[in-house]
Amino acid sequence: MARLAPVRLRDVSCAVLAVLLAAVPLPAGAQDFQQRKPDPSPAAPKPPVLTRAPRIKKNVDPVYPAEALAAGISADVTLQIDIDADGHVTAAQVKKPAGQGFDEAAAAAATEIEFEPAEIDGKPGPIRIEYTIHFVPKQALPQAPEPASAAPVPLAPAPVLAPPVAADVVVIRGRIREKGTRDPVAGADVALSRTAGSAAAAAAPASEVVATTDADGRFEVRGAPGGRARLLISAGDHETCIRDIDLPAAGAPPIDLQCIVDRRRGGPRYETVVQAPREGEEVTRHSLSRAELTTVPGTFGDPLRVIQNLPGVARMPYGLGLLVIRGASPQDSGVYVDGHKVPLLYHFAVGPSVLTPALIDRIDFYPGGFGVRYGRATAGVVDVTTRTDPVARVHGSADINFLDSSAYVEGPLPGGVSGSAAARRSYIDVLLPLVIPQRQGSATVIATPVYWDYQTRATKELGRYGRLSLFIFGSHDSIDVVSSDPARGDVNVGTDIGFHRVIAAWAISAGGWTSRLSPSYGYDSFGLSAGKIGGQFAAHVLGLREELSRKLSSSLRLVTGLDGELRFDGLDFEAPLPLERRTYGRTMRPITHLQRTLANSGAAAYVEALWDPHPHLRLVPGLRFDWFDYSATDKTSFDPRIVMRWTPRDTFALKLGAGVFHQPPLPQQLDAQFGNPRLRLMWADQYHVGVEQGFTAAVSLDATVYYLRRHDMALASARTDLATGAPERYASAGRGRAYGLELRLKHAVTHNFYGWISYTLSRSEVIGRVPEPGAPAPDFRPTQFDQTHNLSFVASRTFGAWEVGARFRLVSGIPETPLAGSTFDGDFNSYEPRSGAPFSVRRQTFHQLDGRVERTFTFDVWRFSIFLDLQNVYNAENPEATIYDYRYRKSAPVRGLPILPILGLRGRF
Amino acid sequence: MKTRVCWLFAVLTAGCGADFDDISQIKDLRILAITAEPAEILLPERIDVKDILARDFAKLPADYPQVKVHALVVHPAAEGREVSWRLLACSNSRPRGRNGMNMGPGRASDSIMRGPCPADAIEVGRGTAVFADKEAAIAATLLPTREAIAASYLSDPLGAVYDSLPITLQLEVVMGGASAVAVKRVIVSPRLSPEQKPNANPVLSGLLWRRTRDEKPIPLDPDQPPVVAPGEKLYFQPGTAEREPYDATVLDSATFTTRIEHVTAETLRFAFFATAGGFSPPQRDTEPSVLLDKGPDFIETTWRAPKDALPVGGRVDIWVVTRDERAGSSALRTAVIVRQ
Repeated sequence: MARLAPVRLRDVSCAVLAVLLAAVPLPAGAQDFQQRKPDPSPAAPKPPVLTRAPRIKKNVDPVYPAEALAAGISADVTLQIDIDADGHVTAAQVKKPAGQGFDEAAAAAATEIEFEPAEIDGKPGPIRIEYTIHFVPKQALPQAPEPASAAPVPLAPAPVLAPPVAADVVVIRGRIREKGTRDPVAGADVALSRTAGSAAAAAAPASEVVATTDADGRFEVRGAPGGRARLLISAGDHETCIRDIDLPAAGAPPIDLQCIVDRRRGGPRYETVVQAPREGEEVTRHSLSRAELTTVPGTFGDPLRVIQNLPGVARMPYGLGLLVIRGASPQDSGVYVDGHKVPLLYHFAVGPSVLTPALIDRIDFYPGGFGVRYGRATAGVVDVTTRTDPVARVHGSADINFLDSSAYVEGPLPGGVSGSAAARRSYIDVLLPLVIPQRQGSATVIATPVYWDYQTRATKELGRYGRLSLFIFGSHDSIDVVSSDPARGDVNVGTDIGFHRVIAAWAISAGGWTSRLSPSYGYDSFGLSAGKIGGQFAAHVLGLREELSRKLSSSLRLVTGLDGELRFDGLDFEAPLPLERRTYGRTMRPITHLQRTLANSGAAAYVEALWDPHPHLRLVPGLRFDWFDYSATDKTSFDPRIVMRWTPRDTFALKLGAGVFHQPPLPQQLDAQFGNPRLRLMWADQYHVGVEQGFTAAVSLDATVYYLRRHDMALASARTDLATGAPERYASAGRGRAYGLELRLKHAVTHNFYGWISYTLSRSEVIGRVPEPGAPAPDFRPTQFDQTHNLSFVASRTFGAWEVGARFRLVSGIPETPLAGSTFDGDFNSYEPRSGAPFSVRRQTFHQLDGRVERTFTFDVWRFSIFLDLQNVYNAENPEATIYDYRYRKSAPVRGLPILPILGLRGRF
Repeated sequence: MKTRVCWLFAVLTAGCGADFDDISQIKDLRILAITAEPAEILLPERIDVKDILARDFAKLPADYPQVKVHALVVHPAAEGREVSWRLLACSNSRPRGRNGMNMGPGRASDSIMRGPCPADAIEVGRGTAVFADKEAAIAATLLPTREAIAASYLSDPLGAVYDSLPITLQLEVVMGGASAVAVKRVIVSPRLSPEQKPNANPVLSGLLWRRTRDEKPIPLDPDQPPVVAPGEKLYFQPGTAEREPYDATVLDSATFTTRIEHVTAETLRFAFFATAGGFSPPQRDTEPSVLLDKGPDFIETTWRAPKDALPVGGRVDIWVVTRDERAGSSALRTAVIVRQ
C-alpha cells in the first residue's frame, strides 16, 4: 500500500487540530474552576467558550533520527502541549512514545513551536492540546519524490487549508458516526488523497482537507470525477476512518459512504482547561460533572451519593442518604430539583437516588453561603439541574443490578419537541422470600420493600420566544413487614412515602432582559400502618419561581426574583394517644382519630447584583425578603448576603462571604395543640473566607474557612405555664455554632483520570436543651454527627475499555453519650440508663476502602458495560452504633456494612 | 420520620448479634419489685395549683398513713449471704423533657421523673438482710408528713394539675461487689369522688400452665410443680387479679382545662422471671397491643427450659410480678422442675 507523504499527513493533523479546537465544546469536567454549564435559565452565567483555536505561527521541523531513517522506520509520536496565553509552548510531554529517538526529536521541536494563542470568550487564554507528529521516511513515499538523504528530514510548516480540488461535482456523500453511541462526529476533517496515475491526481495535491463534517456528521466531497483515491476522515478524539475508493465516473451518482469509528482509547485526543472569571454568587460551590456523578466507587453509580464525598458533608452510617451539612439537621438544608424543593433525594435506606442519572445534567452543592435565590434553609443547598438540551436522536439505556432495574430513553418528538422518559423498580420484594426460609407452623416474617420512580421530560425550542420545558417525576417507597407468630400474635407493619412533581419552565430573553418563569405542582404522601395504628399524611405543594436578570452596564448585572410556595397539608391519623394524665406504667390508650388540615405558605422576593468594580474584583450583594404563614402564624425575615471575589490572576481567587439565612420551624412544631405557635424563625449567620488556587491545567485546590451560628432553634420543652396549665412543648431556645476548614484538591476530569482529595476539619456544637428553673444553664455540646476529621480520596482511571476506581475514607468517630449502669424503675418495669455527659465520648474512627471496576464493550450501535462496585474492600468492622444489655451494664458495637459487592449491567444505545 | 425508618432498617439489616443476658433470667443480684402498702395516699380534697404557688397548704391534712415498703430482692446463688440496703425518698423534683414518641414533648407522661433521686434525697431507712431461699427480705416504713407533702407539691406543681403527686422511693442494695438500684413511687392523690378508694396493690390468684396449646391451661400447684425435660417449652398464663376502676384527672390539650375521667378497669402488667431458662415475651399485660392482631386476653407467655443440666433437684424458681398503672404491685412465686 502506498504511503502518504509525511508533509501531507502532518497537514491533516494540524488542520484537524485547528478545526477541532474550534468545534468541540469544552467538557465541563475539564474546567479547573468549575463553571456552570449552560443553564436552562437565560439568567444563568454564561459558560466560557473557546472562541478561537490556537494556530501555528512559527513551525519548527523535528529532526528525523538518522538510524531510524536509515532503517526506513516510520513512527507517530503524540505529545501533550501546554500553550500559554501568549502562544508560547510552556510544556511538551510525550503521551504516546515511539522510541528510537523519535520522542526526543518530537519534544524538542514542539517546545520551539509558536502559536497564535487560543481565545476564550474572545480573550487569549491558556490551553492544552494533544499533537501528533508523523515521521515517515521519504523514500517510502509514492509521491513527492525527493532524494533520500541520511540528513534529518525536515517536515513542512503547518499549512493553511488548501482549497478543494476542482470543486465542480459531488463525488462522495457520507456520514461519520461514533461507534456505540451512533452520535454524529461533527467537525471531522475529510481529506482526499488521489492515487497516482489519473489526470485528477496529477493536478491535485497528494492529500488535502476537502470538507468538514457538519453537526450531523455529514459531509460532501466535491472534485473531479474518476480515478482512485483514499479518503481519510479524522476527528481529534476518534479513530480515523480510512477508505480506498474508486471515484465515480463523470455523470455517475456520488458514492454514499457511511463510516462508524470508535472513540480513541483513553478518551478525547486533547483537553482544554479554561480559567475564566466566575459568574457565581457564592463562596463555596462544588459542581460535579457527569463523569464524576456515576463512577465514584461506593456510590453504586448514584450521582447524588457522590455529594457525600464532598467537604462539609458528614459521613452517614450505613450509607444512609441523609445530608448533614456542617453539623446541621437534614431538614435545615434544601434539596432542589430545577429550582424547586423536593422532600427526599434517596429511596429507603441504602437505596438509590430518586432521579435517573441520565437525566441529571449537573449537581451544584453549596455547603453554606449560598445566594439569595435559595431560601427557607439555614445550612446547605443541593441543586440538581436536569438536562434540557435538545435531543436529535433516539438514545437509551438499561441498567440491571440485584436491587433494581431501570430504563431510560430519549429522542426527538413531533413538533420540534425533545422528550425523555425513565423508570425504575426494585425487586427486593420478589427476591427476599426466596432467601428467607419459611417453616410451616413456626413464626414467619415477610418483608416486602418496594421502591420505584419515574421521570419524563419534554422540551420545546420556541425560537425567539425562548424555550419551554415540562418535567414530571415521582418516587415511591414502601415496606411491609408481616410477622405471623402463634405465640406472640401477628404483626403487620407497613409504611410508604412518595412524591410527585410537575415542573414547568419557560425561559426567554427579550429587550435585554432574561426571564425564567417556573410554576410547579407537587404531591407528597406518607403513610404508616402498624396493627391498629394507621395514618396518612398528604400535601399538595404549589410553587412559583420567576427570575429576571439584566445587564445594566459592562460591569453590573442585576438579578431579581420571586420564590413562592403554598402547601396544603392534610393529616389523618388513627393512633392510640395516651390521655393527658399521669400514669405509672403502660395503660390503655384509646384509639384517637386525629385530623389536621394546614395551609402553609411562604413567599420571597430577592434581588442580587453582580458588580465588577474592577476587572479582578466581583462583588455580589443580595437581599432576600421572606414571608411565612405557617400554621396560621405570620412571620417575616430579611436576609442580607454578600460575596466578594478577587481574582488577581487566572490561577488564583480569594473569596469572602457573609450572610443571614432564615427558615421556619416545622409545621408540626407550630401546631397549636401539639406544638407551639409562638416559636420564632430559626436563623443563622454565616461567614466564609476561601481561596482557589490552580496548580496545573487540571489540578486545583479549593479551601474555605467558615464560621456560622444558629439561633432560635426549636427544642423540645417540658416547661409548663402553671397559670394556664399549658405545656410549652417547644421553645426557640436552641443555639448552635460550627466552624472549620474545608479543602478539596481536585484533578479535573481529563481524558482518562479524575479524582479528588477532600478534607474537612470541623467542629459543630449545639445547645440542645431548654434551660430549666434552678438547673445550671446548658452549655454547648457536639452535635450528633460532629466529625472532627473527614478525609476522602476518590480516584478513577480508564485503561482502554476498563475503568478502575477507588475511594478511601477516614473519618473521626461521631460523638456518643456514655451509658454506665441503670436504675430499675419498679413501676414501669424498665431500666433507665445513667447517662454521662451528652456526646462526650467518640465512637471508633471510621475507615473504609471501596472499589469499582467497569468494563465497556462497544458495538457498532450500542455499548454494554458490566461493573462491580465493591464496598468495604477489606471488610473493616467500623462500629456504627452501640447496643446495650437490658441493664446497660454490657455493650456491644453494631458493625457497619460488611464487604458488599454490587454487580451491575448496563446497556446504552 | 424517614430518618427513623432508615435507622431502623439499617440496624435490622446490620444485625444485633450481641450475646446479652435474658432480662427474664435471674443470674445475679436483682431487685424485681418494690411494693408499698398502701400504694396510694388519698387526700380529702383537690389541691389548687394557685395555692401551691402561694404556698398555701391549708387543704393538706395533718396526718397520713404509714407506708410499709417491701422489696423483692433475689439472687440465684447467695444463700446465707448478707446484703446491705438503704431506702431514700425524694420529690418529683425535676421533670425532664423527653423527646417522647407520644405525639411530641410536654405531655403528662413527660412530667414524671424517671431517673434516680437527686443527691438531697431523704433517707427513710437502712439495714441489712440475709438471703434465704434466693430472696432477701427488706422492709422499711415511710412516714409521710404534711411538710413533706407540701414540699413535694412545691417541687412538682403539676402534681396538682394532674391530681397525682408521686413521691419517689429509691432502694439501693449492695452485696459484696454487686449492687442494684431501683425506684418506685407512692402516689398522693385527692379524692375525686366520694366512692373512691386508695389504689390497692394488685394480687395475682396464681399461674396457669399447659404443655401444648391444644391443652387447656390448669393452675400451677407450687407444691407439685410441673416436671419438664431439658429444652422443653411450657406455656404460662397469669391467673386472675382485680382490675380496679378509678377516677383520673385528664388535661384537655386543646383547651388546657381539666376534666375527670372514669377508668372502668385499670391495666395490669405481668413480668415473668426464672432462675433458669427464659420467658418469651418476658412481660404481658391485660391491654391488647396496638401492634398485634390478637385478642385482649392473650396474655400467655412461653418458658423454655434450659438445655443444660441444673443443680441437684432441677428446681427452677419462677416469680411473676403484677403491676397496675398507679404504682401498685405484688409478686407471686412458684417453681418448675427440670428433669435431670
